[in-house]
Amino acid sequence: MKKVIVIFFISIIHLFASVNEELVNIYENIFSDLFVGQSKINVYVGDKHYQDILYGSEKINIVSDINKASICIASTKQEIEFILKKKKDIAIFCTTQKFIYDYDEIIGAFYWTKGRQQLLFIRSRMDKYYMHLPKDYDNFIIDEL
Amino acid sequence: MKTRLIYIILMFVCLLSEGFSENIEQLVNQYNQNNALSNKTIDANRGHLVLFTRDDLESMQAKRLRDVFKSMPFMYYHENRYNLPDPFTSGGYEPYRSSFIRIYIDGVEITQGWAGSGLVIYGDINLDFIDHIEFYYSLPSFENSSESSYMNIFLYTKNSCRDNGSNINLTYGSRGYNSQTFSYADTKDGVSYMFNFAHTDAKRAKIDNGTDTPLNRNFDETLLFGYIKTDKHTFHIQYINKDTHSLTGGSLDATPIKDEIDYETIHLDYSFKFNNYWKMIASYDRMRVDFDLLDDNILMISNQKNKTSFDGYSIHNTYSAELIYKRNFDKYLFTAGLKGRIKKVVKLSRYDMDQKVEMPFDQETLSSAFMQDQYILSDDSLLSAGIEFVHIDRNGGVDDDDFIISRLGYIYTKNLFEYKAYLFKTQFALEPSTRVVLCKGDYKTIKPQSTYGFTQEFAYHMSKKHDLRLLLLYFTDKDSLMNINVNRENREKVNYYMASFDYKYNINLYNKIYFNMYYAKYTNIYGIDELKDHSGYIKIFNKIGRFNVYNEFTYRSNNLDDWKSYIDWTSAVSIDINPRMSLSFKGVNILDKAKASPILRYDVSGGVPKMMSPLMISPIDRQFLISLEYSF
Repeated sequence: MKKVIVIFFISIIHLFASVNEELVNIYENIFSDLFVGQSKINVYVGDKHYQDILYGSEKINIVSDINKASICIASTKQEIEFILKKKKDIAIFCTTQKFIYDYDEIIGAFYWTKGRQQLLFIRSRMDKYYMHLPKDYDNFIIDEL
Repeated sequence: MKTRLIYIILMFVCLLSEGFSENIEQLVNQYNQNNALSNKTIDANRGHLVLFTRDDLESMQAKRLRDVFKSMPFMYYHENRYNLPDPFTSGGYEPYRSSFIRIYIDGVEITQGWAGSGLVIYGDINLDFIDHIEFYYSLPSFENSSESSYMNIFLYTKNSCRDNGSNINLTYGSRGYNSQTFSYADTKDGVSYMFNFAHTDAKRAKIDNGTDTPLNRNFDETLLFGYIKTDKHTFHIQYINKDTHSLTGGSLDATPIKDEIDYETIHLDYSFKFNNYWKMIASYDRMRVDFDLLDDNILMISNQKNKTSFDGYSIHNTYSAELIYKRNFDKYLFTAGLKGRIKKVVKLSRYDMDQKVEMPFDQETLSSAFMQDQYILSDDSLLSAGIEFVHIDRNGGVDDDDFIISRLGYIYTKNLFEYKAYLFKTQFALEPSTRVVLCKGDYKTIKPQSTYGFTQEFAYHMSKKHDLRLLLLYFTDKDSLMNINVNRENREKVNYYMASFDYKYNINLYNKIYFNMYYAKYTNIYGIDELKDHSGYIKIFNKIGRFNVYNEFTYRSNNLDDWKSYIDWTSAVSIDINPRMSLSFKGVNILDKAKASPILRYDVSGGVPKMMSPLMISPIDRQFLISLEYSF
């Protein structure tokens, strides 16, 4: 019986872990491809939920000082406003679709729409930050909004 | 030593599954597949599953439930002579046959009470607010069923976090068919809410009945749906107004002069989780039916007394409540509950006679208690056993019923192989409206049907690419309600033998093929000695660049039509114009050869009714649609 419970818990932990790890893996891939050559990318994360998920990532270093960040992750309007107040013209990666139309600093987003997560980058905004992505991302890049 | 070995194997599997490097598109798609809402709602103990995921529904451009229901094995979409979804209709004069199938939205049953299962109206519901659909064959686990059934359709709504914001969809199609939907969903401070509006003006193909006035089955439907959810509370509200032309209406020879039947339904439900173990659900369903029927002969509606017209309305309410206790004890998952349901005719009134029709039998009350246990036999097998006691109380001197429903289940999963089996006994009472309309003077003493069933499922998952499944179902009805004359003293026994084979080939994340082939044999159903059915489908999902392409070929054939072959080819193409907008094209029943079934008719002009050649009608119109979807 003990064995059944142990296996059950390991499976459950693995299930939840793998869902979060998949998300971490996606963010690690995105930032590694945006900042080629950096072994660990400094990221400011405004959202507590994403802080928890990305904490412990081998490729992402969560920083509390926006000035030390290469890019910021934001989910709400307040977070975006806060980031821009601290540092104008920093690149922001958003987790919500609706704000990408309002702020030119948002270079891309990974957001829920129509029941699934969608990845989107805006080339004209990335160019401003001299950011480029490999060909793998072509399906997710639009020239401008 | 053994435990340590299992640890090592598990850790190795964990590491292995995370070790592969994939490109970003594969990672995102894999993430979406692994996080689909359907992964959270599927319950293996509910029966044998046929799943339509969000991806499937979108690729299929499924706008209404019929779009997915039409290709189901054995029990598939069909309409009766009143233009209502009724898969089990015989084509005869019964008001409704399909209360063996029950329908749920977010786990709460929708019912039309006096008229029967919620399928009456929801059997072809607009799917704009639906995320995914689970069809289950076999008697369901008792925590899900309020009334007996052997097929259950679970519709799950979109999640307000995942479908945040507004969405508009406009559809235009053949004959002027048009549909407009709007939805808005959001989550704030732990409260999720969604609102959906859908309007459909369904202009459908007319049916030639040999007169200058072909049969009409157009309908105009307005649907409002909303929910509010928190961790503990869930509240749903649904309103449907469906104005229909009712095909043959009450006309015996299928030549109605007026054929309008309008339905208005309201559904409210509230569920509350007291804690991890206790849960309650309370729901209210109201249905108003307005009739405006006229024929040159006597109408096939009860209480008509030589009348050729019926201009009136009925209102009936259903109140349901259940209290459920669910708890894990060591190797046991124990569930018990109490359920109650009251079906009441509030009013039946005739305008043309300026009177309220008195009905001595106007209330049915169901009360039931159940308990069920799932027991872990070993690491890879699970045994479940359940029993339910049901008492049905009826007024107006109509017989009461006492049922005992039981089910024994076994699930075995090892490596890539799965086996599932259920042995059950269930009982069905004739629905009140059918009882009164079809049985007239004999309606007080209708024997219930007893069904015994044994169902099995063998599944084999060859890597991630190939899924094979064989489904074997056997039911036998004692005193079957699938007889033509349900008021007979000794009704015939009906047997069902069904075998279905499924093969899914996942070529990659974007391209897949579903194949199904089934054989069914029914004895004595509707008085037919033997009805044999060979059918199947191929569904092909492709993604070519920004285009999603879907093709479906459903083949149907049975011995009643001398094995005539029916083929429904449905094809859909959609393209994402930009992140907010998509455009799609769809052709349904492109060859206009979808399965048609007989609707019976009698010539009553000479006094003595004479059977005429039946009308062969397909519920699936040939139709071409264009849709535009915009999210913001």
